Amino acid sequence: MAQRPTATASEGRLDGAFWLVLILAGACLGLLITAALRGGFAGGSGGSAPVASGEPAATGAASPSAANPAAFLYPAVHEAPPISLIDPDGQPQTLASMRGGIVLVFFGYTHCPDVCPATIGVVEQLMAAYGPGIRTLFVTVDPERDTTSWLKDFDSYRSTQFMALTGTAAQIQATADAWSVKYARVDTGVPGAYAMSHTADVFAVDAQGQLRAHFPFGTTAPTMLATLQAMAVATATTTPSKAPPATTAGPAGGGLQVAVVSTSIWAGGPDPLILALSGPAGRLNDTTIEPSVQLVGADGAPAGAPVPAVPVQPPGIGDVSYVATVTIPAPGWWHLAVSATPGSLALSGTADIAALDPGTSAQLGSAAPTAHSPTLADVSGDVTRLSTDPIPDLRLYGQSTSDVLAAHQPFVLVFDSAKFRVTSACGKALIMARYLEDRWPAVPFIHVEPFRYDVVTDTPVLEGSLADPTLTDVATAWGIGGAPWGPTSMPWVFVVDGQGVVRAKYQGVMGSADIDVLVALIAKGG
Amino acid sequence: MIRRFAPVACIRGRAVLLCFALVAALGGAACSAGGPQASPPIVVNGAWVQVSGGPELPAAGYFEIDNRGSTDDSLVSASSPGAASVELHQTMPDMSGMIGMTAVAQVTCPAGGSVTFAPGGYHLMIMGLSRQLATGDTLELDLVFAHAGTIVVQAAVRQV
Repeated sequence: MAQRPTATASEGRLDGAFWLVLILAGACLGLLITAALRGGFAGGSGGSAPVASGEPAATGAASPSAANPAAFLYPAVHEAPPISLIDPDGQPQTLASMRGGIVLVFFGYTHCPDVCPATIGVVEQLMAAYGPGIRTLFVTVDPERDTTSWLKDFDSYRSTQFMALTGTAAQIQATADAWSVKYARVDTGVPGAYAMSHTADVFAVDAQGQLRAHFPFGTTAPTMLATLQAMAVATATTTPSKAPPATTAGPAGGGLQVAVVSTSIWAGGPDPLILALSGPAGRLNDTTIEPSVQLVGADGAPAGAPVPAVPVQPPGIGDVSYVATVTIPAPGWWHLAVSATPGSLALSGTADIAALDPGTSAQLGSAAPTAHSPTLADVSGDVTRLSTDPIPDLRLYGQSTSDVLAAHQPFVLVFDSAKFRVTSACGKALIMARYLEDRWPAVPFIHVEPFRYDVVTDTPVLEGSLADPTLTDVATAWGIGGAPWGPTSMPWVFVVDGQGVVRAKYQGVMGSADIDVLVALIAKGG
Repeated sequence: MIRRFAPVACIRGRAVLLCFALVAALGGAACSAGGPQASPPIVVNGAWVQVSGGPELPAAGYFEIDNRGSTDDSLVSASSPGAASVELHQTMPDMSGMIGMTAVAQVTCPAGGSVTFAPGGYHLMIMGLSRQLATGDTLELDLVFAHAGTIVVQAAVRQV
């Protein structure tokens, strides 16, 4: 038996020391509870604070219209644009064949780690909550990597109501165009490591094949479900209107499929439109033909005379693009009527394009501004004065725009900021410039920070704020801060030919293949 | 570091000693959790990982960074023993209506503030997973802060 401690006269008495201990215990217990309630209990040692938690983090912001599910319904009911692509088994699938149930449609790519899996998660939740009679079509915007075999594995992780679709690049482009979905490949220079920017809405097509609703990224499954239920009510009480004018995308009557590759199309000056053309036997890669391109207004009337589309095949690229320089009189929707005669086969097709308002930006077809872009020599080699890129590419700061203009060299001017990101596209143009200047070592690529900043202990500090930054003098000279774009519309890229004429310009997300074709065109004096 | 109270002299009796032991234990835990002296300035909560398919596809990591300190700190890099590489990325809508992502060099967490990594915003792009991840698994993420050093979190694998 354990020896009982020796009793003392004070045993069992709550003396002052004991009260002190109790008070301390209470205080520490309070601290413990407070910490637990804050969710920040972090044990560990050695400076590490592991937190193992399966608690969900907050996800993307809820849509402002979440309170009113009917707000996601289109005010007018139209027939959904066609989809005619290939499933992971290599079998043709069409949207038209899926009538009888709800079809959700969205565009994405399997190498997308963030937006697409989140959207897939939401539509899977929605389909589980909705029950039978609903399916999802996932149309890839990355057919190069999303082959049928790849998608077969991808689909194996999804429900049976989910189907991924792919096709040729031209088919994907035409399908996306028909749905007014935009996408662009953004190269990083690392083989196979490119990303895709894309429209991330989910579209809802009803059992009659009518396009009824679209949900911006971030819409929750319960809100979508409520919208589909509102859609069912609306379907029962209204008669769908006639279908809108047939889309001009997809296989045209003349057998020529026209995909517009250009990621920025501008009104107000001669704009080089890059086209990918496909005939019955596949993509046209014939460098001996010059297809004819006619701009057509929304009323069907021709605008200007037909122009020849010049074949361009950048080095190392298998496909031929056709570049038609078209002057579009005003911003808005226009059509292109294209005809080509590869061999003895006469083909024709059409495409829709949306022309942007150039505002005050340097006009296509005009002389490039002569403002001197600062170079390393101007800042005694201190590149932090020229670039907020943490790992700047010094090749971008060796020559000034004024120098290359005087030397009659074609060049590419990039307004972008790696640090002061006013849009998601910021930083990407710089990455793309590195990739392209590797491909075009003889063509100067020049980077200019669009916003004024100071350098404080090696850290760029913006003048003003991200919501209201101050443009640099060079950015102002190129007119990119004016209406309707404003100073927060970065990035911008301008392509200038050897005669000092602004030949192409890009705003926001831009495709690397797009600029590659343009540089190939001007590099050979086209 | 776990702190313990110094012994108090002149405390007599078994009950008193038991209370002291309790206080010592609670005090150590409480002070490491929420006390102003030992509380880590950076706390990472709610870490989770979203996978979209097999290990050959990139995954995304999300969490909330809570900076309880009095100075700004920045998440400057991340890694995982279960992946070949991890990059800091940000997804944002573009004025053209497209949504895209791009790598970011660091993410600043202001003093007294928090930063949320969530779908459609900041995220870790986790590439080259060494094994197939499924809902219910965990993946270790090692988050390197400019001032707070490395914070290790066990991220739960799940869907949105």
